[in-house]
Amino acid sequence: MSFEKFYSIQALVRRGRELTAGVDVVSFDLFDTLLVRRIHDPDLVKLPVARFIAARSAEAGHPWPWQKVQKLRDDIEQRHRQETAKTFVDHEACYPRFMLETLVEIFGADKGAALLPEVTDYELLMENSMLVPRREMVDWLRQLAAGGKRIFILSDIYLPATHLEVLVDHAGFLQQVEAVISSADTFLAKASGKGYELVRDKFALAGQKWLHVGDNPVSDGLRPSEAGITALVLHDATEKYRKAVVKRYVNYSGGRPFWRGRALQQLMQPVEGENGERPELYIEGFNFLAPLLGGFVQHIAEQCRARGIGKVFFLSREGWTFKRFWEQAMPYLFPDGRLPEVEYLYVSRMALAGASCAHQGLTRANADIAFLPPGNRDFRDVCRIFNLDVTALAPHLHRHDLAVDTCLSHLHEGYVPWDKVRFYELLEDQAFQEEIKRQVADAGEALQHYLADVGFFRHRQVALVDIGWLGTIQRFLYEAVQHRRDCPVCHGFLFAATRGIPYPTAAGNTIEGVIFDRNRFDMAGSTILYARDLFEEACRAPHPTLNGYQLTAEGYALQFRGTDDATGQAELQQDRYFSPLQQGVFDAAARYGAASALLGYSIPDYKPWLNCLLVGKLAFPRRREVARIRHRHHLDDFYGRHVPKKVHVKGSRHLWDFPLWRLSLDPFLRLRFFLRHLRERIRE
Amino acid sequence: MNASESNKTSVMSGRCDLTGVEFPRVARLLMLNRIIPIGNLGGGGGVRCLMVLAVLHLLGRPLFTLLIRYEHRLHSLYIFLKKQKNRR
Repeated sequence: MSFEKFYSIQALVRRGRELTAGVDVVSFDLFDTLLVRRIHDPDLVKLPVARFIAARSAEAGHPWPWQKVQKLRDDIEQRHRQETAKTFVDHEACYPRFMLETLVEIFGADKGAALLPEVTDYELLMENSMLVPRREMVDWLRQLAAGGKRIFILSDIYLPATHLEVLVDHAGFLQQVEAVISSADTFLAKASGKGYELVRDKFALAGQKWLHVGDNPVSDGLRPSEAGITALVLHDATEKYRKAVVKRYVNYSGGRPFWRGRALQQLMQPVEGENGERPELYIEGFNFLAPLLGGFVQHIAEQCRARGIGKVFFLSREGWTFKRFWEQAMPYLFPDGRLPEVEYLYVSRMALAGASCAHQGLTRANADIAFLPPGNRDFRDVCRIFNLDVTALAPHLHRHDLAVDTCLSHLHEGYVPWDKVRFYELLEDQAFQEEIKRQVADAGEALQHYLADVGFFRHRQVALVDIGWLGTIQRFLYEAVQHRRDCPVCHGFLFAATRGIPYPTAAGNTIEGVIFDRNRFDMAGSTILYARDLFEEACRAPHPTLNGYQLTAEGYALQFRGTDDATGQAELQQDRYFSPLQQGVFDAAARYGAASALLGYSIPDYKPWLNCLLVGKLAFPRRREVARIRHRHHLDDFYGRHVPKKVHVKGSRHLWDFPLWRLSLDPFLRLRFFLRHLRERIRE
Repeated sequence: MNASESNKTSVMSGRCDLTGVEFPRVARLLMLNRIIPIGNLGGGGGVRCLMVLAVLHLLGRPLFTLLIRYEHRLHSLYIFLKKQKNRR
């Protein structure tokens, strides 16, 4: 008895096609033949299930460590196999039976039985996330089915056929298969050859020519050959190679934290038919931005669970991407469902700036924020940002010897420090503040209607999620509602907190930079400062920015910026250019969730690798990368159109602002900038 | 059609590596970190790990294609080496 062995899937399929002309029945092994796992060791898929059961046990009031749950499962499965071996040749086990016993042991009879469907669903979800159909093999299977062959799937595994059907259905070829047979149902396996006898008798295959394809030389080669079945065995070098790489990264990540994020990315990688040709921007989204965003949203979810936060508000417009990422990744990471509600909140600095003055007036800190961007120069810029009527305020300025075009920023020509002193005196003027409050009262009221409508005041604690950088949106938002008794405690999570101006942290209002926070010394994380706009453009929602909140008879109306002008059109053009990049991020979101759930790590574990990504891509980018991911248009209404003094323009030039030819020809340009960056961070 | 759309490639390279964050680039950064402090890299990659990964990424595909035919015989060698390692 012999069987043919093949070292590549193409060679096997070629030989299979030659043989199938005279064959009536074709059976396939399932795992590593029709489906491959992203992970090298199938037992690793059991670990997130153990964590899920451990989380449920904690909810039930008698917490079990997940390691103890896993050990119990392994012990019970082992015992089931030993008991099976007393009656059958094969040492098989059946998942619903041993998992039920495991759950009953932990939760008691009633609760354990009730939990079994939920645990099974999560186990199958995780299996599905790690299984990928082999394109060539499945294509061949479909052709065989179309040619009238009877197709069977035979597997020696603890999952019964009903569960395997879920996996095959998810892979998309259940319709072509006559039956899925699992050794878990009958304890008659391919390993002993009994499984083939069973199928032959049950489906009346005696006398029919039968071809079996699998990957195990004994179960799929020797045994079918002994039973008179033509057997082809796949020994795929490419697949062995891929799994060897995954294995190294996963194993090294246990001892060396640096490889944890790398192992995560290896598990996220598309394989087989998924790994097609993609635009380079898509790849930047998948391999560079997605792990950063994944770490960010996973940290927020963990913090929400730890702090008992009831609702997460993703602030427009970057929050749109964070929310989509959250929705795709969280079912894998937190299957117990103990997660806060999520909502996308339409806000912007421009829309909130005015509303923030409705109760407290224009504060000195907020006025200073207006002069942070170098393009803002005078009181007109303040009025533009805070949505104030400059004509009505001009008499108040005259009273303090100021004009609407008096230079108030030290970055511009004509700046006189005494003018700034007079401006601060103006801010103390009660009549001036009353006029401001009168002008923005409607906007403030409309904002409160909007926030009440989205349930902002219904929770004791809320999370506000934004890209960064100063926390200005959260500052304005909190100042607009802090006078209310039902104002919730606001936990701000920024992708990166650059803290260019001190944030008014209070018990009810905090911000935290997750990937980078200037309050913590983080050299690698600070490289985000090289290209902040990249993250804004990459995460931005495909809708125009919000200009303000209008008070209406019904309550409020959101006023969006038009897209007809040159600025709006340029923004649309940028959105179109970055759409493959965003697609890469979204396609990676579910993969991030599954891979991170499997590894059981979170952002402190991934941070060393994320640091490496940030430094590599931002501080030492390739010329092509800068050309590709540098934004074409970046628009910010907060920034005025005034030109600051040359000395300030020159000082603010960054690596990513340089022409591409300089990046190609100057070998030390990146190193010089990095050393300068290093010096600046140390001096801070 | 812009430049990035016309230049297409796969997310995972033929060397089972991340396109755009390939192993040599990571190794270079880890070496740079020995000279200039570029940040918290979790203690680095480890020399032995880097050497194994370098062989895997750069020579792995031809090696596996060649050795897969002798896997059965090599398996005995792996078991022997593992026993020697555990004895130590």
